Amino acid sequence: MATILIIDDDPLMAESLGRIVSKIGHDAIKATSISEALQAVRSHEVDIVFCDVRMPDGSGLDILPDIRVAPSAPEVIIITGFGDPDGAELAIKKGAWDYVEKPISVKDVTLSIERALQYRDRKKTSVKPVALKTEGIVGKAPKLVPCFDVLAQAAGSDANVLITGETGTGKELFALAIHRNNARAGRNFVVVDCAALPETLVESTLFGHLRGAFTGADKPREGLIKQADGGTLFLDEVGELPSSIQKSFLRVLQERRFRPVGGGQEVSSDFRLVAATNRRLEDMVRSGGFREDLLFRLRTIVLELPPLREAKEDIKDLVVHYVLKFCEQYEIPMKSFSPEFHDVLMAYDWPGNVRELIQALEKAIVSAKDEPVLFPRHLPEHIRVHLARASILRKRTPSSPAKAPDDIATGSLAAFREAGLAKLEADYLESLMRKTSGDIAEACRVSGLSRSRLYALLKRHRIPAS
Amino acid sequence: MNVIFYKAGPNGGADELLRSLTGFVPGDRLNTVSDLTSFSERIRRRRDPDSIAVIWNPSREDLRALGAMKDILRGGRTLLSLADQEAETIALAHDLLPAFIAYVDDGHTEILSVLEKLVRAKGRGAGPGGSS
Repeated sequence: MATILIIDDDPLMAESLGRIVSKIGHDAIKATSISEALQAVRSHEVDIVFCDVRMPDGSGLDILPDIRVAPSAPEVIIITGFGDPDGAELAIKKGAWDYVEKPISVKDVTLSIERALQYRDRKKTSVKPVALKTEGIVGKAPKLVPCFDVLAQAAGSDANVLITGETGTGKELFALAIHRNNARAGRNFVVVDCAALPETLVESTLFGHLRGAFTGADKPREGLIKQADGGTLFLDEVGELPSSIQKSFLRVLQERRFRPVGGGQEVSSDFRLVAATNRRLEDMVRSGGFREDLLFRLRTIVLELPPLREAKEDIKDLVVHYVLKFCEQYEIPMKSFSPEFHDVLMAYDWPGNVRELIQALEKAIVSAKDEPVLFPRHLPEHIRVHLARASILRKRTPSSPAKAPDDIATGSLAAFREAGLAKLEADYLESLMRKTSGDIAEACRVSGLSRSRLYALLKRHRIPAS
Repeated sequence: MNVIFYKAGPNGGADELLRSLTGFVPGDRLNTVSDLTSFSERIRRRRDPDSIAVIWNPSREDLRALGAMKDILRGGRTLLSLADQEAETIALAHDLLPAFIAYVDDGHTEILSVLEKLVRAKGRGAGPGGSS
């Protein structure tokens, strides 16, 4: 007999589901709010959770990470609205086991429960994996925990892995952890830094070349793909791989064979592929910058790393870990932290993620010199400036509710629309400059605007460039 | 962007590379060292996350010693120019997670073009930051 938690504020729906659960011989517990649900999942041994998306105190999808890290780690089945493919997609992406559509059918619910319980049984009886080697990866935030599950899954297989996440989230560390926990750990972990390679060098760097293949090729050279034979090939910033190479690399992925530049004979290489990107490859496929068939091949297993602003629970552990590391590195006594130091770190959004945090901590330690306690003033100036500006802007922003429609219909629709768009544009630019801490290059990258266009818009809206 | 150039072994083209580098890396941003202790010290003290370490012609012993400080090397990109492509040398080199591997015998042009791309990208502000 299993215990099934039903999270739904609609008493009729909860009652119907409860009846189905009891009829097939399981226990049902009910929760009518998110807070009640979290309490229930933490205090009961729950096997399956049925969770409605729309709850009075929030979205059911938002508590998925918390449910998954509950002591009994239940499987979650999301109840979505009828004909809501976006809701279903989001549920699966957030790690739900399954989803059922409203109005619920006895058959669908029963089948979903049976499958989830079978999976759970198999999971329980399977041999527990040995502890993962996760050197350098610090964190246990609810958003990061599912990444360790995917890491374990990837480490136990030879499937291609695509690691996505903003810059600085630790994609290389996860790639390395996949390799170190895999049977190939004793062989090479070969990095292909696609962003560093000039287009003219990509082909010979990847595939190698024979003597005389081109001017200057005085000796034959083994390419990185061959050097990864038996090990792992890590394509970092795979979105930067030139289109001309994408096609030939797709063939290598399919056949694990290739021809070195200037060679007639094919060479084989039994490598395992892990790729990483901070770009949205789906968008690149749509704009013709990335091959769809290559993307399909890359994402057999997808590991999405959360930005630090969504895993702020980890900041404290990261701070202790890295401050200790830097103090050892600089051969100085361990420093302590003022409460305000931690407050500032928690208030900042960290657009550069863990990498930016690490750099800020190193800067703080260097600035503090012999002072035993770290204060906010030891942090990089751009962080303190950013927070000061954000605090002032928050105070300036009126908290009054939006005006009623009859207050705004005082002129023509065209004028109103134009003013609205201008306001939206100004809000976007302000947010952009805040998020990128005034880094114009980063702002251009995020917004897709050219440097001159960005400057023109900033001038128009009187937003300072830094 | 700072370049820390470690001339570990016999010259074999290092001077040509250094001469070419002065064309696009300002003198105060180009640090040349020729012993592991100084290199290690420079790497530990670097503040610029976009800095690049170029290690020219290291022996296997050098590569082993560099392996012991690979955590610190990860603070920026590492470019290697190796003396040979024996399996052991290659394995020691990959342990450092280099962004690019060239060979001393091939001269300095490949490593120079990688450096040029990285420096130009940083200049444009598109800094191809590593993914970690």
